[in-house]
Amino acid sequence: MASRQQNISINLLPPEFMAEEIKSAQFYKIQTIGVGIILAMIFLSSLTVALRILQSSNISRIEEKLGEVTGKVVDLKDRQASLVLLKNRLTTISQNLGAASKQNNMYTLLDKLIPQSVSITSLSVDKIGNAAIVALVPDSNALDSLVTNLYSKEKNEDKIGQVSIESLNRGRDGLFRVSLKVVAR
Amino acid sequence: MMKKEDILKFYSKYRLFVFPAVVALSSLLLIVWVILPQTIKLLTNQATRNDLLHKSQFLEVKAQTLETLDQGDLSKKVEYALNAYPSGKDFGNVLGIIQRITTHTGFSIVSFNVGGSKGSGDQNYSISLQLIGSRQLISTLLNSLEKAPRLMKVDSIEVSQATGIQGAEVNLGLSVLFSPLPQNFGTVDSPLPELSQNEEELLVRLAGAQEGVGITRGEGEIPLTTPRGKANPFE
Repeated sequence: MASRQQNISINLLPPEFMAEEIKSAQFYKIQTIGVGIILAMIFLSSLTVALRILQSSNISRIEEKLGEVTGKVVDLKDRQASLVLLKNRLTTISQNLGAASKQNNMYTLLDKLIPQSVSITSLSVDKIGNAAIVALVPDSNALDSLVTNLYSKEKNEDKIGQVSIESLNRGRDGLFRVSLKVVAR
Repeated sequence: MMKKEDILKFYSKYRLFVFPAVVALSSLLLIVWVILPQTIKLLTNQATRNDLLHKSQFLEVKAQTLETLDQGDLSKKVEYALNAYPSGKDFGNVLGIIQRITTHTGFSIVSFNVGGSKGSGDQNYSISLQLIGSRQLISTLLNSLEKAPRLMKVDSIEVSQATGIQGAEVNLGLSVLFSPLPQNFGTVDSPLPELSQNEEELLVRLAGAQEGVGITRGEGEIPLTTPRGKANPFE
């Protein structure tokens, strides 16, 4: 009899009280979660405000440094101006200095192509680079040589586009008087 | 007193709904009024901070570069460049250089006329020269003029047999370049121009050529525009 004990629990609390206890338990859970949420929100707010304050302080330091270095650059503006002017000038100088003009090139070329036996009465090169030659040629071979040199692409370095004989006559002295027009390529 | 008791009674009865509602409302208010604006401001200010930092670093490098430049050396280089390509019409200087070159190549100046300027921006004025000399040396004359330490270009050439005397008569049209100074020398934020190796070499050539011709000036001196050579360049 003694070994066989049975535990019998009898709930003597009224049912309303039970319901109240269950409600309280539920509320404590909700309350805990609610307090946790509020604390998290307060923490996040504090964190963002603190970060903003730090960031503002950092930006202020950078702005101060920027102000200092801007002042330094302003003080050295004369050197900058000199450098800008120098670059401005050198760009044009390097393009033009020593670079022969079209007119110079044409004259030099013609000087090279005209045979020694040909006597130049006049030679002009205009602003476009076209040339006009009036020459005295001793014989037909020299005339042939003159025209061939001017026409030949190899000899004229492909710088002459067109050669035209404006006039050609032979005087009593046997000399050819030739007037040529040379158009640059 | 009654009211307080009513409130307490109401809260006790509906606390399961009232408390979560209060928590939700408070959280919403904190998010809308504090967390969200501050976060947005943090992000925008971060971009601003990066821009400021980048600008500060750029200006620091620029200041360091400018500090390493020697003002005296820079002024000399500017002088060489302006002697070769000045901001105005320098008739005296050009006449001196032309006279020196023509004398050196064996030519005599018969007449020297200065024309007007043409174009805008990079400007130039024209010079008409009438010379007498050897036909064989005309190419040398033309090359010397175009390689002179003063920018000029040959515009037109007319060679004819000189009457009465031996030699050739040369009529040259020259275009002498000049350009007004730039209006804008750069701002604090603008990058510094860099001189290339070719440009440094060009400066050395200009310095050598100008000192040879005698058109360099010392500090504070009046530019030497009087040419060396014949007293009367038209002889």
